[in-house]
Amino acid sequence: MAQIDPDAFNPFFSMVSVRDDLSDAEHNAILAAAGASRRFAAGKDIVTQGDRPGFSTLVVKGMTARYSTVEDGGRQITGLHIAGDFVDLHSFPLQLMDHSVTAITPCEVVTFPHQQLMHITENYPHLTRVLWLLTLLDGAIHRQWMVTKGRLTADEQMAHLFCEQFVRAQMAGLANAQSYPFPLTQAQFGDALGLSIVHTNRTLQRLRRTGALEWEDGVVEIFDWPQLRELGQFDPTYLHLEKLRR
Amino acid sequence: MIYFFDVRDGDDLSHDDTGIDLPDPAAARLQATLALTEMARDDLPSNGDERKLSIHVRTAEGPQFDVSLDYELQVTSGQNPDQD
Repeated sequence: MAQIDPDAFNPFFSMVSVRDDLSDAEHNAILAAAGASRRFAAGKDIVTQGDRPGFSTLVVKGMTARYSTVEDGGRQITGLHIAGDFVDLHSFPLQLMDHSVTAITPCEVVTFPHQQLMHITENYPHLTRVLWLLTLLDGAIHRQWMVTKGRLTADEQMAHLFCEQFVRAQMAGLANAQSYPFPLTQAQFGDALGLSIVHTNRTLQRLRRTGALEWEDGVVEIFDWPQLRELGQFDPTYLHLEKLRR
Repeated sequence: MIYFFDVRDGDDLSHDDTGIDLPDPAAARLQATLALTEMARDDLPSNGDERKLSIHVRTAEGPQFDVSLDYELQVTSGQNPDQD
């Protein structure tokens, strides 16, 4: 196994510990399943649609985005991942990637060979359910994005996304009391919201004018959390923040 | 080329001082037109019976083009469907 700083897994274990407790054996099984550490420059694809990667990828530093493209070159970001998130745990059972994953910032990732994940599923039933839970959380977030995209105004959808990213950064231990890293460009932000850059910028200006938050130099600072939650109709139920025996 | 998009929604004018780097005028037109449709979706359902949305597009070289949408509710039954 390559030399990987064990602290690199802290965001992952932090995010899992919100939902369940892992035993020492399960903790070690994750560390033992890790393959290689890899770095990607911003803008590089980590996994490409049509690939059969043979491993799943955990982000340990930086931010990545799942995306799909359409014929006219338009791009929809369907998920954002921060340190502690697997970008494609589903590629273990699915094998064939039906979307790509790109590095939003310079990224450091750790690969988990599918063979090692197979070993976990055959030897650690509870840990297997926890990994299953992680893909279910991905699905829950996708559903919520459909709701916000389909039924909320751009102002509400944007406020909701800022709320979601704040809570997720907190869970991974990446947020301060009122701020968190959010290093997207305006074009990437528009691609995540499914909006033109013009409307994205205008909506952001309106949101800033409410005084609920500021977003500068890749950092979001929240001044009025209750107001931001109300603007985004944000209810974190879908993030399943309760600790249960899964 | 940096394109600037000044958005007017009724009396509310938002001046764009950031701009967007786009490859050509066609890309600027696409951005402006998409933005109009998105503004319409957000703003028209809750904002009265008559509305004009427009975007003035300019570059450092000067004005380039305008796009606009007019919305009007015309009551034809004598009963206003507006719930407000």
